[in-house]
Amino acid sequence: MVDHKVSKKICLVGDFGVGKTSLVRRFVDRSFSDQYLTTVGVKISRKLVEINPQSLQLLIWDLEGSSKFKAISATHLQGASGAIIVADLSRAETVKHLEDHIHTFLTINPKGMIIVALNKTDLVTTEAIAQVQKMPELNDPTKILGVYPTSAKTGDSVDQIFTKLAIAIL
Amino acid sequence: MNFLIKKLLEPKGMEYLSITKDLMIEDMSYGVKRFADLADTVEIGQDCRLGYPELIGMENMLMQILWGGSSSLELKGISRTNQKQPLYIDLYILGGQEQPNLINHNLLIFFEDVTDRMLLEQSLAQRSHEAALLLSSLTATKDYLQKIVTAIADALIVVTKSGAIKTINPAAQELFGYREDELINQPISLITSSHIFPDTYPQTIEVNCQKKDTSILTVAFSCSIIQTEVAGIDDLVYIGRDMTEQLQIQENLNLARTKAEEASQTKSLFLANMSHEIRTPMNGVLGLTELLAGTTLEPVQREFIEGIRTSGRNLLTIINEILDLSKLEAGQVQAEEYEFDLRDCVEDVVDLLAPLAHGKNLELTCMINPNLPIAIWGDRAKLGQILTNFLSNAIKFTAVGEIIVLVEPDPETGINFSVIDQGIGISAETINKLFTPFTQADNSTTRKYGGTGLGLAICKQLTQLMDGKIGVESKVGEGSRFWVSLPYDTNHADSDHQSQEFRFSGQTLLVVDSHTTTRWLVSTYAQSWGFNVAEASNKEEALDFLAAHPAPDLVITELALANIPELNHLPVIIVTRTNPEDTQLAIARNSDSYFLPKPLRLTRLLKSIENALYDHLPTQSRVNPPSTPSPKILNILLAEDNIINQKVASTLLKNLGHTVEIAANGAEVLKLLSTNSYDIILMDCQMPVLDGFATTAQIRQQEASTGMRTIIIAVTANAMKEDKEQCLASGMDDYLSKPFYKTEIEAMLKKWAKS
Repeated sequence: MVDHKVSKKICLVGDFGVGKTSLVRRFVDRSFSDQYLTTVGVKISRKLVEINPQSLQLLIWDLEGSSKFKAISATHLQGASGAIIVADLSRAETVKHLEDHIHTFLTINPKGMIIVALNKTDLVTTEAIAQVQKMPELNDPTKILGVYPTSAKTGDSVDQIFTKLAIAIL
Repeated sequence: MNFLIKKLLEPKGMEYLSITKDLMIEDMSYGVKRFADLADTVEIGQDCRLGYPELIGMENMLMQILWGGSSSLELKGISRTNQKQPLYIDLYILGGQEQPNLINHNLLIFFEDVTDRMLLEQSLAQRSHEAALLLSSLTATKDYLQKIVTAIADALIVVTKSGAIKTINPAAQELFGYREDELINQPISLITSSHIFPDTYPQTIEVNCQKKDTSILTVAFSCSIIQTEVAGIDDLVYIGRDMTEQLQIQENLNLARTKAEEASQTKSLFLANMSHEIRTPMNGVLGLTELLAGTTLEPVQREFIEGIRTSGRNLLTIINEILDLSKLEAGQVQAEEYEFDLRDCVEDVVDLLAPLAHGKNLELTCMINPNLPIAIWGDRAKLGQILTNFLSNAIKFTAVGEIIVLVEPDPETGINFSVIDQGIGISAETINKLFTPFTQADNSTTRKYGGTGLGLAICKQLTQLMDGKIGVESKVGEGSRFWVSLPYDTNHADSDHQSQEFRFSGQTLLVVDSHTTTRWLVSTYAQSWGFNVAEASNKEEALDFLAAHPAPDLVITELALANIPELNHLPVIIVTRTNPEDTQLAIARNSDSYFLPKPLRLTRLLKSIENALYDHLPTQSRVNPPSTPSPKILNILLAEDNIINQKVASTLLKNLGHTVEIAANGAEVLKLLSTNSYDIILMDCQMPVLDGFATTAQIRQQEASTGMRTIIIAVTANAMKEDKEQCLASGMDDYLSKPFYKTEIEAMLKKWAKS
């Protein structure tokens, strides 16, 4: 072992601008900024999560978001125990791409755990959220642990998704 | 590490690590710590994953390279966030031996600083993503606006200031029958030739538009300016709705209203004419009947004549009621405002109908709250009409018992007038229909009691006219209370009323009457004047009182109980009913008492009390009528074109002892006047050749030079109030409505004979 703690790699995957970095910043640094700064390459953060009686060190890979011109880097996904697949509720196409991201991740990590974060709930109505939550492709329990409406801005459900994933991969 | 490799790596700024199969560092270049996440942990013999966390989770991949399963692994663009300056690195991982072997296998990890490239990439991606996000946001907004425009049910058109159509929505396409491409960039004059650029915005305009199929429709547009930041290039937005159908409906409504108004006027005119036309022959029928009744007749003939007379009068009542109601419904009646005596108004009605009630052996009592003011502002005639209706209904529908007319203050409205009877009552189901025209409680009522069912409908209209309230409470078999509340001012000081208060303070009054209501009425009034009142309901109680108390100052007793010798030496007022029996009894009685007829009037009661107490002249009994002077013989000119009516009127007038000459039209009147003079002219208003109004005008004109003035009394079948006003305006002195009765004409002649 590298340390006295157990370490696990998880990835944040999704289109550009859906708020992956913001979710990590909220979870790791307890902070939020409205300013958009796009991520290139990958940023790795460490966060120790206490799951009684154990503690787990999460290595959170904040991946560069995919765009029309650039796909998710497959090598970056390798060796991940789990992923948080993120969409922006205010941009329908990012929700549409969730399925592709899930597929990509599971192809590389067939045993990987997945949580879907429907981010930016602060920008949309509860009716719109409910509509997305009902999508059949997001309701496959064999692939997905759960679908959570989140807001990095308000912090809604952010700790919950990381903790839930940590428990699942431990 | 071989020297050659070091030489190769150095110029590129690359560093390396050599790690064992246990991932322990076995060799490293000098500067490799610069690329570590935790530099302190990068030492020979340490786990490489401590300083390079990107290797965590990659163990399987590393083993595959180590054992030749794959040749290499690249990890690109790893960001080190622990540095002051941004740092991005690429990792290349290779097997250390050409052939994997069990003794010496190791892995080489090369690190390259790619910060410059990544920062450039970040800057490019940042711009590209921001642009993409902006575009997406703009697209979403535009889509939403477009959806709104498309969804608007009203037609939407955006026009440039020069009048070119820029945008139209589907509703507009449907309204005008054009496709979108047929209208875009076309002048707005294609659909309307009207001026659609108002001076101020926002504005609503209604213009005629032409559809593609050339049909015309009226569209109401609301138009406003779409403000932009560049002045002068603002577009205009029009939201329009087809008004053609609504305008058609409005037009139809107007037409219907005009027609209805015309019909209503025609109805009113018809009713007025019908009333006139029926009244003229009715005058003949009733007049001749009255004359016929005055001749010697067989008993059977007399019976028939009475039948004709009664039927005729009933018919006249019905005609009058229909006329009243139609005038009220047509809004031709106004409530007037003038000062009148509240007591007189109410008690006159009660007096008028008392003989009817007494004829049926019903007790009739009228109680006006003594605290109410006497002088009231309002329309006496209309109040009288309502009360007459209530009271005659009460008498009609009561067989046994009593009727009370009650006038009391109403804290909400002003004054409440109730007529309470002990009649047949009305069931809860039919009570609501009562105030509707031509409705009686039920048809059997109509058969048994007669009447048109118009009376209460008229009362309701009259009450509404005076801003009052009207209602009824009733219980079948127990009786009814009809009431009307009118907004009369009861707060003004009434000097007359105040002066009556306590004027008989300290004096004792004994009321002897078997009728509870009468005792209550007399007591209430008398107490308000300051009397100490004692009541006795029969002879024994009266005697008991007289034995136990000092003699009262005054006794008020009913006729039946007046025969008490102990009362002889006291001032006594005897209350009688207006039926013939009581009158005969009163006359027969060798009386030194005052007689007071029922129903008791407040003023009459007060006057009698004053007389009885102070006058000490017991022979002035009210039953002895004052001798009337013999009437003056008048020379009368009767202007009347109808021969039957000529006969009726002239006979009546002759029977009254006057001399009569007849003129068949206005011209004849003028001719006769040129040679004769008359005390009074009875002038029919509607006559051939020259009508009553024109004739009167000419007479007055001629009289202006002589200084004489002949009394002219209009006689007309037109029963409307306006007709009376027209008569007086044309110079006539008074007005008599046809058909008239002997008593009416007698009173009229007496009135004018004096002058």
